[in-house]
Amino acid sequence: MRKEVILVGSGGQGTLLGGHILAEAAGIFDGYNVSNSGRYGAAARGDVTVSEVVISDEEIDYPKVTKADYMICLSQIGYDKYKNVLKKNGILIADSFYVYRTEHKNTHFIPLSEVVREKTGSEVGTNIAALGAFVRITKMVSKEAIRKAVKEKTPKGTEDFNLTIFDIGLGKIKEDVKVDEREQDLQEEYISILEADIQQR
Amino acid sequence: MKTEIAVKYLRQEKLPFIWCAGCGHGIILASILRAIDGFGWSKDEICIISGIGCCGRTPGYLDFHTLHTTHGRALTFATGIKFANPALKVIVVMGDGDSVAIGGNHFIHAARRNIDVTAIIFNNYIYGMTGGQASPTTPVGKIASTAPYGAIDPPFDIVELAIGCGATYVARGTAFHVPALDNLIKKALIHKGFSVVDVLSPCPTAFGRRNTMKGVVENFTWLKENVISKSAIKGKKGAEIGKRIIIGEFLNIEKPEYTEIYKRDIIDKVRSPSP
Amino acid sequence: MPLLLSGNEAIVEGALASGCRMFGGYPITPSSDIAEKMSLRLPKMGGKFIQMEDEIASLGACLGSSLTGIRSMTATSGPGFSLMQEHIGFAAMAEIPCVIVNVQRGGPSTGLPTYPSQGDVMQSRWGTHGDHPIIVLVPFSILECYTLTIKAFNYSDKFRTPVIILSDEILAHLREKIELLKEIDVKVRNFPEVPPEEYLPFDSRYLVPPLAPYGKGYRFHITGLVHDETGFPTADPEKVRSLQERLASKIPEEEVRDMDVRYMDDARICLFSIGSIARSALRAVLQLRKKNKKVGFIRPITVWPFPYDEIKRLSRDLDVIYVCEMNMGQIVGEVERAAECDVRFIGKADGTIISPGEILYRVMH
Repeated sequence: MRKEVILVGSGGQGTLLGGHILAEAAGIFDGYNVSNSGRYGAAARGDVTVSEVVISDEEIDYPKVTKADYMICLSQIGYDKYKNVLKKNGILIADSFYVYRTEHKNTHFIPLSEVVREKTGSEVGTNIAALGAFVRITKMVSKEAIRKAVKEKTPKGTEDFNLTIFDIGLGKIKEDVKVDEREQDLQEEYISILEADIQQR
Repeated sequence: MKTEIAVKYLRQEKLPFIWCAGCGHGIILASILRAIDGFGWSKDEICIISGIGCCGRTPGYLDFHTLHTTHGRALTFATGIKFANPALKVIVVMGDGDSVAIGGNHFIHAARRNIDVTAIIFNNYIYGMTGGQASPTTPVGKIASTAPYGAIDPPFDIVELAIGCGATYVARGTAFHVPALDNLIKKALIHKGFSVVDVLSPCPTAFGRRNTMKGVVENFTWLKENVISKSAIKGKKGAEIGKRIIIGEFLNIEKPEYTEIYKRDIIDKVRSPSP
Repeated sequence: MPLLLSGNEAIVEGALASGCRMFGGYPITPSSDIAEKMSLRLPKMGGKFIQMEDEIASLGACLGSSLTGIRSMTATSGPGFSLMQEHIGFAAMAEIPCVIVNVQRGGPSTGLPTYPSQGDVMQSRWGTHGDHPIIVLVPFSILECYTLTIKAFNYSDKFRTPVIILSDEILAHLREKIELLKEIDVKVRNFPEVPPEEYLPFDSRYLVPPLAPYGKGYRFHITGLVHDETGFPTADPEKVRSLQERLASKIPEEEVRDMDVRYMDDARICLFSIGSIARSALRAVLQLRKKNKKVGFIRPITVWPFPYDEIKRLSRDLDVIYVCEMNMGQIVGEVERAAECDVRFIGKADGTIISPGEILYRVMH
């Protein structure tokens, strides 16, 4: 069994840390073999960041993602850039505020950043909430493993906060909106506003 | 140099020196040895390191731990040796091109760190060994094999450079004013921190010959006539000093030394459990 | 408990476990986190970290500290590695042990700072002027980043030579699970067997003469000039030849050779690769094997000295060797020199990893 996960976001959303935590959970606490790598660059300044995690119960030869089984996506431009990496029937977990249009059938739009903002006043931790949703939907790694990895990898003093956010993601937040319905909801105007916003960023 | 000092510190089988007649380098070397002998240091605790050039050959004659490195990089090796084993006394001898041209970057950073290394610069205004090319201390207008119409690049003042970069002992001497040089080198060697002695050393072969000072005597006479000591200029006006080069001690201050700071503020701190 | 480490972190663990207690470095992507981790960890073990003014100085400081008997390391990438060539030559000539990590990135010049390449394979062998011995180890996993660093220190002390670890940007920031060794096989350099008055730092009776540390009563001279057994300069052709021949023969291929050879028993085709790209090649081999293709896999771990004899022997039963490397064709020339079969090249240097799919496509067509 070899499963490939790709996490895509904008600089500052904690994409790389999210991948690191997932790899730590799967590798160290759930006992799989893992390979985790990031793509960085000017990402700290708002560019698209990508973290790849390969999880396997066999020796991992090629350590990078070729065709991902799962994608966690926190940014529309990130999706547009990396959509071809996700298998056609791959599972996509998308933040419904930052990602508004996808081509994958198995898209789970989840208002991760909105709920985190509602509950904590800021969007810090959306990456951790996304891991919660990932565990709930894919069952690839155990909740306990992620909890342990979160404790280890998040800054001292923020562990409890991050664990709370993980639980938010883990719980079913709202009915996941299916891709078709969502497409209808989106007004052209709304899209153009978002596009302008993204370009500004 | 006194016979007993020569016998004690020179590798006899390596003599004679490769230096030309009239070169000042041997005089500076004798001065260094007198200072070391005066302190009674063990030969096993002394490291002497050089770069490339006439001056670079100095360590080869000396019965210490000696290291003849690459051009301009002597201070980098010296930094590693001192940092790894602060018990060693580390002396670097460099030429003018060696220290402030190709090695300029290392020079300014060794000074900035104030690491306990003594840098003695055998400054003869020229690349002697390679045939008299212009160096960063060649005075404007002087002739060199790569400055056949006279040098136009303004020269470095090594004393000011060293002070500006953070050295904590800075002096200038010459191979003519030997008792004064003995004193400056002694003080530099016992100074804790980065110490620099810029020593003007005649090079009749590569510099003097091209600049109307063919003979050995003329070269030393030039030093005699064109140098004035710091103590001698007290009370004198600018016009009286003229263009003469000032020798003496320019800076002697105490500042925390690099290897000591590393031990105190880093090693000891991270190793002792915080209160 | 196993640890999830990046290649750069694993190199740090390997160095510290080997007793490396001095690191002189200069920041450069993608090697900087080695320096960062060393600056954090070394003082806790009584070791020293110094950030030098450039890469020339970094290696200079390491060679200085190594002369006092302390295991020393530096790490850099492409442009910094170019600067270090001067002191790699000095270390080779003066026979001073040291470990140099080169985390390869795209080149030439500033190149592609955050993208991988294997463009320094030949530079790691011939980057400095003059004939000189060198050992170059190429890890292909995070575990090997760790174990080869330990090996690098042992080789550098045993053979009195600079040892280069040729990592790359892929391994630098790839995280994998590794179990650190409880017992490390540390073989420090030999101390002279003779008293100081009889000591010759370049004693030609040895293939690798013992190196006395500075400050222990052995006063001797070291120079980058060609020297005789005493360490003093010479231009006597006989003595020069004696030194050159000893240097050329002091690292025996058979002893330091280390290769990862798989599926070669019945192979007619072989994929030959080093470092991180060997991971792609291995995947391609496994997929071809699933299609009943008789494909084997060869990966030199010690790339210099190059295993000419071994490649020659292995190639006799092959029809073709495909050499996969992330450059425009470097190690392939060495394979051509050694192999007695057809040799083809699969490579690129565009900053992207050669994927198993690209290799498969080339082999199938």
